[in-house]
Amino acid sequence: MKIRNPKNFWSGVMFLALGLFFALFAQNYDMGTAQRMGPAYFPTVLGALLALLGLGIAIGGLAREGHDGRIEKFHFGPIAWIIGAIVAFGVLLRPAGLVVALVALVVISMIGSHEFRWKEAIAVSVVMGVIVYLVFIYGLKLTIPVWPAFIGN
Amino acid sequence: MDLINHLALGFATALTLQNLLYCFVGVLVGTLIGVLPGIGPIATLAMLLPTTYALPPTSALIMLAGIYYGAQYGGSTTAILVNLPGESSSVVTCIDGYQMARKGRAGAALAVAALGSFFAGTVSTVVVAALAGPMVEFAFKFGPAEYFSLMVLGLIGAVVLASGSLVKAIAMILLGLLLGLVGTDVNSGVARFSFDVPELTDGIGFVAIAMGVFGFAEIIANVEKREHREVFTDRVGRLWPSKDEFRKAAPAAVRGTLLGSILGVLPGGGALLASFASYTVEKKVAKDPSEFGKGAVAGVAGPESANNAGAQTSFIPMLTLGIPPNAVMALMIGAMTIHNIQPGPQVMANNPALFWGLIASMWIGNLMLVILNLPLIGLWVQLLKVPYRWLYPAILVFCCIGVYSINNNTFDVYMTAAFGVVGYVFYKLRCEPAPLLLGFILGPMMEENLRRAMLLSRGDPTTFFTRPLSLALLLMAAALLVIVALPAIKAKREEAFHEVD
Amino acid sequence: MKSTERIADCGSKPNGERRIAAAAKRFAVTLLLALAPLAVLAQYPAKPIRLVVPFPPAGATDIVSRELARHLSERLKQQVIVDNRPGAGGALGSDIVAKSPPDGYTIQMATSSTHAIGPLLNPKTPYDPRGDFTPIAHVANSPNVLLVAPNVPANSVKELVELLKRSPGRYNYGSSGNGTIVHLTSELFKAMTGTYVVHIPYRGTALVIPDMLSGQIHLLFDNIASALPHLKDGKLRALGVTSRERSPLLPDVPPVAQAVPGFESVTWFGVFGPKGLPPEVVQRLNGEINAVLKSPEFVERLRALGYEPAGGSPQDFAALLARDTDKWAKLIRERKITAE
Repeated sequence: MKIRNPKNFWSGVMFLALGLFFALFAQNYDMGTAQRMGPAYFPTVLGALLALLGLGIAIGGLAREGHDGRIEKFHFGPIAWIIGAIVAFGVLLRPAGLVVALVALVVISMIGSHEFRWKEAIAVSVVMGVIVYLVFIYGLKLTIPVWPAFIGN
Repeated sequence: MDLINHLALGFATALTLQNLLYCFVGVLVGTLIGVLPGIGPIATLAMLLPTTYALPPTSALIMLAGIYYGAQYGGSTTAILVNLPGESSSVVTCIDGYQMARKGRAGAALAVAALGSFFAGTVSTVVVAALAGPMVEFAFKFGPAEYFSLMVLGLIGAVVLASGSLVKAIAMILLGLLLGLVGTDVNSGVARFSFDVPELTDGIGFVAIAMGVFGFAEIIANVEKREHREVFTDRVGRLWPSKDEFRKAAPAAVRGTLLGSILGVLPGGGALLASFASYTVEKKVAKDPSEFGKGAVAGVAGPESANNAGAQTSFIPMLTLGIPPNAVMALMIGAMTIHNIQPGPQVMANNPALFWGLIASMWIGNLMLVILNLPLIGLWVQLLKVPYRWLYPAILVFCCIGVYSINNNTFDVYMTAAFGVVGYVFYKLRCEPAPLLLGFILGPMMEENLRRAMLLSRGDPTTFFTRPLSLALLLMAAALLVIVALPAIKAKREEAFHEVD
Repeated sequence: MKSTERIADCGSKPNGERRIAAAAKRFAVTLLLALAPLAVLAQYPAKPIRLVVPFPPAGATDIVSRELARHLSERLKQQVIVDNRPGAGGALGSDIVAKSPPDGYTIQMATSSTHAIGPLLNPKTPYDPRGDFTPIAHVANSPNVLLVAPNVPANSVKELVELLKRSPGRYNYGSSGNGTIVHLTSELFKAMTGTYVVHIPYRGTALVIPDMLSGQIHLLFDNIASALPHLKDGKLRALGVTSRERSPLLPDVPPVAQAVPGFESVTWFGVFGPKGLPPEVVQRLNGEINAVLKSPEFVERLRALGYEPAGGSPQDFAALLARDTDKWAKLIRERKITAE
């Protein structure tokens, strides 16, 4: 069975899965009646609708080609490095302070680019570090730990 | 005429050196806050509130109000430049504004946004001054049933936000609605879909989802392009909009202002709808709708005017009734209370200098914002010339810090990262994010009002049809559905005919 | 001890002198240990103190907390920094404090919803409000006022109760959400008067007002400061305040307790620290907070927001927490109020 329009097919599958997820999970809550709707009512109805729609889109993706249906290649490099950088920032921020987290964020996210050069990464880190300090810590007086916790805030 | 007297008093109050200074400080701070992704006016207002205690109440309010609409201007800037909506009202600006920037028309987009907002600000200031009373009466007619019907109308219009497949747009709206339901249910107190994660009991933050799906996804998509093609074209044209662009933008601004002024008065969240509604109208009214989504100037002018008009007229329920339509206004009421001024109908009578001074300063603030922002356009456009491989880590830094600072919680950072992945998947599958965000914003309000209306009518669903205003809105929604679906049905029929051939 | 004895032994001294030297050393060490808490007291606070506010910035709790922090910073000669940690109705921030080290440098502002009502309604609350915390000081009280819409033909609580009894289920009351103090106060009212009014939850009380003005909602227990503008305007009427005594902000309004004996519902605000806080620290903070509560500037700010200053000892505060929790627990059990 040839998938004529992968974009639509997979979109449909995604919607179907998400719709079912919400509708089924909502059964943990009280449905109530149409007159006195409980917390499960809306999510169940909407989830069911979404699942149905997803099914329709997926079937359409099987049958009809449309135009521009091919999915472009997923490049795992950039997404892994960039998301990884953001997560690293989150993990490092409180224990290691803003400076360390920021350097991690900049360097790791830049590795994701195919034009990565170490010198540039360090330069951007320094520039951003200064800007961030002036704007957020000095200017806005945000309560973010700047230096690692063991140095004492 | 009374109006002239009032405005005269207002300008006399607002044009003192002290008040001008505070107005300037307010709009400047507001713009900076708006430009920084994540950080919103609320945190800033909270921090600045104690410094306002020592000030005379009028000056304090002028400054706080300045921060509020200054942030709107700043939010449009980031929406256009880097596809990051600062507030719910800037989501729509991202759609065409960012595309204009990518085509080298960033300057024009920013100018159109600024001028459109200024026009809207001027008109709506007059509207606030002249029509505050009748508009409040109009707002009163809106109960839960009417709000529900209004939101149904809004959601159907949301389908128009997408330029691609209609069905997928509807699915995205539904998904957005469902995501909006995550969190504590107002009617029963149950925490829905929170999976015992305490941070989710208040729902998914708007900033996390908007920043992730719009901003981060865009960055990932750009970085993965191996062709050494700059995201923003080198051929940055004239900074100022062309005659053609002006011609298209002007009527959009007028329509947007009208829509925004009306919707802004509704305390139950009318202002949020303003920019979305304007986009829908513009797309339907345009001679060449296919431009929308690729950088149509009317898609920036209309919504920007609408949301600025809405922001100004939302002061009406705040000042005349003491009812805050959103969290920022609630703060200003708090500020007024601390200065021992009770917002309400007596404010006009007891404190005319304050009331009219505030209104006059709104216009002055808008003027200052235009004067501030227009020259900055040159600066922003230069910024876009920075090689993308240096620009995107900088954007990431501002975003991450901004998101963290909302709740001082790293969970928000992780949430945004997760939505970045989700947004990337959407991009690959060609599912457009704007309808999702509208569903996300409107979903919980719609459900709340539906259930509330049913509670009030003791379970009688005909209440939506027996109340005249609600019925009118639902009929409009039905009509809109037909208008929206018609081209799609026509296209399908043509396709069918071709296949038969 | 051992090393000092050995060192003492190293010297060639006669036995008696050695024993006196050892005893003297023991005495010195004991004295130092006894004085150490005083040293802590003298030193505290040696570095900035974090006042966690488990609510978003610029809300009423936040404003009061920032004012308190400012005054305390002056008195303690150390920075008291407000750290907003909103989420889960105040449970997130409270949990952070519960799990912090009890050194007096992490404290929080709490309300009856974070430490009395919330945990009663949500069995999954990650902390035990009475076990995991040390009460420090009771800062303020916020009584509510019973408002009625223009289309309600009652001018006193007594008339209102009669009206409600005549037509049960016909009238609606608004609240700031299921499980909030407004909701519980209203249910308490219903329980104590034997009436039935339909609960219509909203997100916050502000949006109830337009629906009251248009006649769809009939009753609301609202915070006094927020209600004042509508009262002055004459559209909404105040029938009673929920504290036992009249409020200085509404001197003409009698307490609801006059018509409904024993009725009381007051939201309290206070400062807590994690459990196991040294008594000296508690005393110091309590003393300073009580002093701030006597400052006319602070009291003025409190009153502007509709609050009344409280004060008192940590023991008083602990007793209040116990009393309040028991009262609401009883109501929740009897009326089977759940967050489900």
